[in-house]
Amino acid sequence: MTEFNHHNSVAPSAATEKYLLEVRDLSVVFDTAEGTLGVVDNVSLKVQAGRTLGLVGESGSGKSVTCLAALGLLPQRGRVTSGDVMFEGRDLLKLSEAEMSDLRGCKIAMVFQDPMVSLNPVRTIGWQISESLRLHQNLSKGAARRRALELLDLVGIPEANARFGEYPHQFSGGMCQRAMIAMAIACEPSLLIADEPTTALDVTIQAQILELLSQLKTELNMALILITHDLGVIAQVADDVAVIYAGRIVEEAPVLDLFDAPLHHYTQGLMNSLPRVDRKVDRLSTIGGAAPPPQDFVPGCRFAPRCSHCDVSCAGERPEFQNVGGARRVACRHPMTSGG
Amino acid sequence: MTRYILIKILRSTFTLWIVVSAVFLILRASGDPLYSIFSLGTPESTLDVFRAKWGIDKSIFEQYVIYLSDITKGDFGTSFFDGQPAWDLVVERLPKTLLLGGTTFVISVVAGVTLGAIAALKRGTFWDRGIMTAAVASFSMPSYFLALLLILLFSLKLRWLPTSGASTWQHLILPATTLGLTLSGSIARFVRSAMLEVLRQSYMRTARAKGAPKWRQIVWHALPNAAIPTVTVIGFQLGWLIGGSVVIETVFAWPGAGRLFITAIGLRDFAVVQMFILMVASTVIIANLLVDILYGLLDPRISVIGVKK
Amino acid sequence: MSTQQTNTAAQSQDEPRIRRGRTGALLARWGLSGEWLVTAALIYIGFILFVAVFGFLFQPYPHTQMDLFNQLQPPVFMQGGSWEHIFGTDELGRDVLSRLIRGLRLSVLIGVIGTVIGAVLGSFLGIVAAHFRGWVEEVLMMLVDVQVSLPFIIFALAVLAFVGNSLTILIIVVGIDGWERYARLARSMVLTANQQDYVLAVRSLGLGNFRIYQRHVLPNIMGTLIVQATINLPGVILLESTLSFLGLGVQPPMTSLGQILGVGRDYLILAPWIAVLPGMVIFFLTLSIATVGDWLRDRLDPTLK
Ligand SMILES: Nc1ncnc2c1ncn2[C@@H]1O[C@H](COP(=O)(O)OP(=O)(O)O)[C@@H](O)[C@H]1O
Ligand code: SF4
Ligand SMILES: [Mg+2]
Repeated sequence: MTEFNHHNSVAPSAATEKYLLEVRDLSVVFDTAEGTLGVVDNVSLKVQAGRTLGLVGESGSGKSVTCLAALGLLPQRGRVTSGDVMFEGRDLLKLSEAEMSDLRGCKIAMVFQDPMVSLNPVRTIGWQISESLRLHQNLSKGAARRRALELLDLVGIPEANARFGEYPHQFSGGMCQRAMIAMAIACEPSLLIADEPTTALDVTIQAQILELLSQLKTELNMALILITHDLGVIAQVADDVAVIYAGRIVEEAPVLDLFDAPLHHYTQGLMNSLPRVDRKVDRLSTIGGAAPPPQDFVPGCRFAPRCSHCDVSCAGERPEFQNVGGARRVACRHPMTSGG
Repeated sequence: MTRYILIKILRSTFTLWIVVSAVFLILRASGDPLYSIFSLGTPESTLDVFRAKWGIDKSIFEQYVIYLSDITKGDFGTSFFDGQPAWDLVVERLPKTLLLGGTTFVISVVAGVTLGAIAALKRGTFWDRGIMTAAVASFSMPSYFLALLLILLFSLKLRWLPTSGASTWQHLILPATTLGLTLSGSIARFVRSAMLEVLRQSYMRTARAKGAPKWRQIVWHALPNAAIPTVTVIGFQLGWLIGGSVVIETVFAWPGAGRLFITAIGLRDFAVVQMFILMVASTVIIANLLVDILYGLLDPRISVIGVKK
Repeated sequence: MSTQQTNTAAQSQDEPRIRRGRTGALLARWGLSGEWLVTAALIYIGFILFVAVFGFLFQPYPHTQMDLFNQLQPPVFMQGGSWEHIFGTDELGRDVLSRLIRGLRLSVLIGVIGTVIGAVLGSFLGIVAAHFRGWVEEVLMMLVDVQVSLPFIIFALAVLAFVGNSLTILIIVVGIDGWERYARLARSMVLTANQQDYVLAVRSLGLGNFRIYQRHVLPNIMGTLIVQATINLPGVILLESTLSFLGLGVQPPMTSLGQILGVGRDYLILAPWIAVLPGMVIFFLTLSIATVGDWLRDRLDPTLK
């Protein structure tokens, strides 16, 4: 237990009420041929009702696994080794599969990265949307159909009536993602998790989908966890940001503060790689190398091999979170000073 | 759609024609059947009468042309042995063959799909290993040997079931079990791999994420997808089933068309053999045609029926 | 410090398992550790091959020698058996063990040669089709359709009954079985390989077709074809045994496992061992080969189904 102490700096009891979802010290391992790999390491996240949390990090950093674990959707080889996931006063990790089924798609819904393969190819779009409704709202077939048509309309799919009976392969990528979103919001969940909802789409479509998500969030008063590897997306829609690197959260901040002055060197690196109007992207100045796979995690700060401010103290033990100002936290021994 | 099906039918007819011709030529070129039918020393003059009667005094090519034109008139030749039309002989045996084959097929598909799905869902567990080991064993077993073992145990030792014949439903049990074990083994194996493939698709995760209970994920989301490749394979298994039933009908003295075939080749009864082969090949070809159509119905991505209005 | 100590402790505990000895090391090198079924299957196959090749050295009697005073004598492990005929005798008093050894030899021979014929023939046709494309390919695919539409055993039975029956004809007929599987496989693999950059490059260098196939294409598809052959082998053995069982395969005085079984079928009550022993030998042989085939496929070529 002592190892986890540094995470509990926020007073637990009263604070819990403030959040719709609170992930505390979640760790996930995968049992693979190469042994047990710790993929997510003591991750904590907090989402307030009606707000958008952006979870950002390079590909392979554990974003999807974190959210899948929270919803009990881990693939067979993955398992949670510690932590809890509080949602509306209940620990999701302690619920039975049946209780989770009632919750999934109803109170918490999820949208996945690749919409074309995330829809069942042998079922019509209409059937798949109606299914959510029939599962959780006991609607009759006709009522479910009427509601599904409304939803198709809501997510901006034209000619809903005609498209209701079509199959996913007859939809474009963007339209598939709209259908996925319709399916997810069918039961008006209080939390929507969108896992890289725009990564597989064309740039113009990306903007439309993000626009749609923000608009729905406001209309339905949902909270949103938006997973992305793209800080640009974060800038557009997030209220709060958590930066994840190699299975650990390294920085948390409200979005404006983060862009104003990133504290972790990794965040800074991500920002430097953003295209900007005022300067050309200098690829060389961005962080070199790639995010390490779990086999290559180093002790101490996992970012150390790519960090220009690394010194001997970084290699020893895991850097603890430091509270900086109101809602900001950073796990770095030598955080950036506001000067740069 | 009509165009697609028409082309398919044309191709199939062509295939059938090749099969029939090839078999005709190979069998007819194999020598004068009379020598094996009549005893040695039968006077040539007698033989000539029969040659003329059965039309085997002409050249092979002439015989072939006559055979084809007879077929188009619905005449499939007569048995050298009892002079009955080959068509009647084979068709009269069909109900028994269909009874055995149909029972086996239905049971094997149900058992194979169920066991294969269970193995996939319980992947890596005792159930999976048990079912798969049994499946491999079942199609490694020579079917006639399995038949003998079952006869030895259930008929000769325990005296529960009859060894041969087809008069009661009890007669059906042993031959259907023998054929069915092998067939369901290979279906189970295939269904398992098809299911595993489906289970790791993203849309299965979507189904879980939307809160569908386990059985609903399997029945409504996984199985319809796994059915698509499975249907093709089961279609191909039909040919195997017909071949296997020839052997099994013989072992159990089941009075079906397969046993007739074995008797007929022993007697070199050309017309009957040819009729049987024609019947089998058409069945397999028609079955494959149906599988094609079924495939299109199961998989909306393939537009066999999909000429848009 | 303390973690280090526990580590060392754990290691020393593990050590006996890591030092596996020579057998263990050998198993590991062949990727066999933990694969007990596969190892057992390989051992059985090795044993069968040994008996097929050298069995005649241990064969107690000529396989046709009759002992008319000892007809239908049970094996030594059954009541009334004797060491004289370890696996008993058949209806003519012939020694079942001797017949098994002889029959095994022919069964294995036909199975292996038949498989090689099918593999070579099918692969060759597949490669030819993929090379020439156009009408050659059309004809081949049509032949495949024809082959698939007639269950092979029916074709084989008809041919053997009508054309007559010699060992050569039997081997050829058995060899044809399954050619279409190799043909399809080879065709699709060569089509893919021919699109590969390096093959295009070598071709543009002006290397002859034969050379290209020999040096660059064949080595790439060989592994898959061999796995396919392993998977087909049990089917070929079963085909021969079925034909012989029905009396249309191997003819006396030669003998094969299926033929012994066919005879034993008539003495199922009086002398079940005549049928059961060869049946067991075939069953475990095909089972072993199938097990090894699956293992090979999973290791070398998971794309095959
Ligand atoms: N099914 C799995 N088996 C083994 N390792 C996995 C599996 N799924 C994910 N991982 C590992 O977990 C890590 C995090 O993956 P993921 O959460 O998908 O990253 P991302 O941040 O891109 O969403 C990766 O390093 C990946 O190798
Ligand atoms: S802890 Fe050290 S290595 Fe890690 S980010 Fe901070 S300065 Fe760099
Ligand atoms: Mg991801």
